[in-house]
Amino acid sequence: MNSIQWESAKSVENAVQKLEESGKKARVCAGGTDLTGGIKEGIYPDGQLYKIISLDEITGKDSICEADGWLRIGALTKLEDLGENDLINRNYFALGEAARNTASDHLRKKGTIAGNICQDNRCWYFRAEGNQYNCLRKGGHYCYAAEGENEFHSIFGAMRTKELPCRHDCPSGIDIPDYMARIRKSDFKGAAEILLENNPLAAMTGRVCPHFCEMNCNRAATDEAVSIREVERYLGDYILNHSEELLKVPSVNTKKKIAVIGGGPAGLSASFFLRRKGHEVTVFESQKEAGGMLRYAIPAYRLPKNIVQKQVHVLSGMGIEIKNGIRVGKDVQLERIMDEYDAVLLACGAWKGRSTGIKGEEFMLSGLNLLREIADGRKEIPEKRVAVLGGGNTAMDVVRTLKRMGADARIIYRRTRAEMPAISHDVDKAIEEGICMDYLTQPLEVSRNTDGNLTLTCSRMELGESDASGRRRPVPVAGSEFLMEFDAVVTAFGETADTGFIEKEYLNEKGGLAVNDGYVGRNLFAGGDYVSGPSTVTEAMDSGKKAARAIDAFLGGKEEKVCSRCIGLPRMDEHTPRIPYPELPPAERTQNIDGEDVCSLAEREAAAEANRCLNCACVAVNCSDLAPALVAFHANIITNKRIIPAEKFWSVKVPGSTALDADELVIEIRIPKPAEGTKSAFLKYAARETIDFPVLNCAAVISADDACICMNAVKPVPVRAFAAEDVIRGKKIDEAIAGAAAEEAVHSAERLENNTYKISMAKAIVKRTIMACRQEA
Amino acid sequence: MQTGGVSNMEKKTIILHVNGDQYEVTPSSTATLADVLRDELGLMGIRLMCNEGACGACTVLMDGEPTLSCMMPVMEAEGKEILTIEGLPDPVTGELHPIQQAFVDHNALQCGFCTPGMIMSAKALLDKNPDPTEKEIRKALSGNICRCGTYRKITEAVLDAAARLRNIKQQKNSTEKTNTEKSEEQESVWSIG
Repeated sequence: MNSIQWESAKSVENAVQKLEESGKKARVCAGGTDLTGGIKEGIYPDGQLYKIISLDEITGKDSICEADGWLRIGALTKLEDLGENDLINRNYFALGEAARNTASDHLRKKGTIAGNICQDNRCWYFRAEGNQYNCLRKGGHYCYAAEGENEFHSIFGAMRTKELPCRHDCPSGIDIPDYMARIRKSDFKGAAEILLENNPLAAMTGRVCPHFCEMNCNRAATDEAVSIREVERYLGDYILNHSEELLKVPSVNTKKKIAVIGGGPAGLSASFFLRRKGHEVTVFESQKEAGGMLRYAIPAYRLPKNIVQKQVHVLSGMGIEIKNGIRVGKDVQLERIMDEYDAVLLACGAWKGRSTGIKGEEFMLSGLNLLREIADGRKEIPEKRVAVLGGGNTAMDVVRTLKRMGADARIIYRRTRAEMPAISHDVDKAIEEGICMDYLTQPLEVSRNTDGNLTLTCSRMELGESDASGRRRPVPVAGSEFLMEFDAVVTAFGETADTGFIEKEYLNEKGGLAVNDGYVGRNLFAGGDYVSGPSTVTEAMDSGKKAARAIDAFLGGKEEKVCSRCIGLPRMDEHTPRIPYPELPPAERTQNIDGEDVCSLAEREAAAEANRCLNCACVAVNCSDLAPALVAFHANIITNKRIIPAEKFWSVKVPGSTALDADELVIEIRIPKPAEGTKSAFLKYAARETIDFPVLNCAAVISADDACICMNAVKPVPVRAFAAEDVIRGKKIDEAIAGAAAEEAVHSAERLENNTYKISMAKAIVKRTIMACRQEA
Repeated sequence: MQTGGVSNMEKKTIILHVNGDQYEVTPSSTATLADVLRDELGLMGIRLMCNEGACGACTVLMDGEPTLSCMMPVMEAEGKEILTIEGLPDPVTGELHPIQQAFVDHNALQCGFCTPGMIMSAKALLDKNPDPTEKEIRKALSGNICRCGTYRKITEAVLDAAARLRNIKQQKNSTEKTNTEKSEEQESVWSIG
């Protein structure tokens, strides 16, 4: 159980310091109404709030003045003072009007301008007493209003929080519902572009990624999770087939040269993101072809080699130079590459075998080597009875491949199915294909017997206490040793990075690479399995993306933030089953070596599956009355860290409704002095006057040659009516023009089940606000 | 008190100045001023109706400003001068404050639940503006809801109370010349807030 401490801040600096000390679990009290309401309603879950920092004692932050062409309003200015200020009512009428229309007379005496713009949303699911609904805005996974009582909610689509289950669970953080929404509009190119923001290897991941994104899909509550994997695969193929449009040579050239060592998922991903930024990228690949594990480890029945080759081909089409057959450390020294290039990325994967601790290692084969030989064209395997040691992804790939080559291969694993690190789907497939699994079996020794065969000595195990990985530790059953006879024993225990060619200064005491957020030292970076050890393709790809970001920043590049997209409203369809993916039956699979077990969906099928996506997002509205006025006046919000233009100030960040960081405070609001003759107006509709959170409000600021119109309480953030502004800009305003502008303002509005009325109301309020600007003259 | 997801284990003792007296209280950290005034000081003139800052029934004066005590964290009230409806009558004679008397005389209440809040809002107004217009009264009382709909009579009562207070002040000023002591005594009773 948590308690709340009250502390008083003596100054802004003091308040910031207290916020910093409290991690993300403190809030400031700048009037207290919103916060007190939230505490009473119990909407702050346990552990989210333990300290309240009162700003009541801070002085000197409540003045209103004009200086250097700006109106400057202290953050702690009371709404009442704002509403009664002559300067504001003379030159910034809409702002004063907004302040006068906020809450009741009593609350305006306590409420501050900063408190008003930072208040939480009023969605009743969010506010429900006792935190009953763990909605998206609380870090939950579902928007209850989308399907429930939504008469006061958004008419301009929903906004996504970072906590959407699919995006949250995806190691690459891909905006899955966004590309699904594009597909629903038959915009495959747009969908592919969204996917490419985070995933340049979708044709690969669409085939081999375990798709963590499907685990908590909200659709499963209705029927089954959306088959994100199959849709992604379709888009991945689309990208390969439309590479000329989608994977172009960048238009800028930074003249920065970057060497990427290793052409696997991490290296290719990093190369793609670096090349997109206009850097010159060269990949050094030790094998004959690039692709790494994609090319040389993952079997063709999961990922055909021609697809990998095509993927590499389209990436090189962007101008990424790939040098095959060059082993760094042997053919060329790392030091030399570091001298010749501006930055170097080590992404050499984890290929080096490890000591297994099993006696008789000389009799065992490496699973990865075997897969590599098969990927290189080996067609036959003389051994018939084969033991595959391990329970990871490599073990599954090896055992299923051997089975297809005619061997009687089985898995020997020391724990149970539940603890297997392999992707569960692949274990299922192996079992379907008739592969035997010896669980709770620990190999102890391999020896050659008199017949020339191999004898594997094993011990039976049982599960004991949990170990550091959270899995129960297998312990031997005393006296349970037994013997099995095989023609070959293959290890697939997981491999490690080869750091043999790295200078000692970059290594730690254990001989591993010393990496700090992808940075090694000088101009050297590292990523992928080379740093993390064996992982999935998606994780390696994401690591490559992060390394590319670090390198770009190192070379002076600026990070581009993708804004939260808002594409339509959450939706609930009739029961529609998940599309079955076209897969060969197990008996045919075990004969299939070079072809794929699973085919891609047709366009129509991919579109139908995308149509099952619920488009989960938040439909609450921002309820600030001052927000639209501040946007319409092009205000800047000054914080202790930065200057945020009002238009970018509000967000669906969790927790909160602004772009502010946990240790960031609004200090001042600045508004550029409007041109001579500027007229402004603010109108609001609320259900009752005293508790009057807006059902809708609108502010307009109109000058001789410009117009800015902003609506609020119509979306999770204030909405600029750009199209309406275009209609009235520079024109003499009359009834007809204002009406036409209002039509445009709601042109893209979308109703929820219970709020159709808000669209006509928005139209009326925009028209009246524009007309009020005329009258103000 | 409803505190939902948070509990109030850590308690801090604070001093509240209410109706001219000092009280040492140890409220829960999430308590509102209304909770403490009612539950710990027994001041039931603070009415809790909507409990979300919409109705004004819980209005008290804090440093002379009308304040919704249901939305005021008690921790923020420390050190402030708080005046409730209980602090209005003459503490010695029990004589009603002129605003209270005007409400009675004008029948400006039906059920009476909103009345303390109305009177406190009116007091804040008249302290600052002894001669308000009807419009100014309506604005000052706009945060107080009367479900019985006695708004017209309330406005009349406040207008009358303003006149009575002005009258008292005038009398006081004229008496001042002859009997300074007496008028000061009278004034002190009605200007506790």
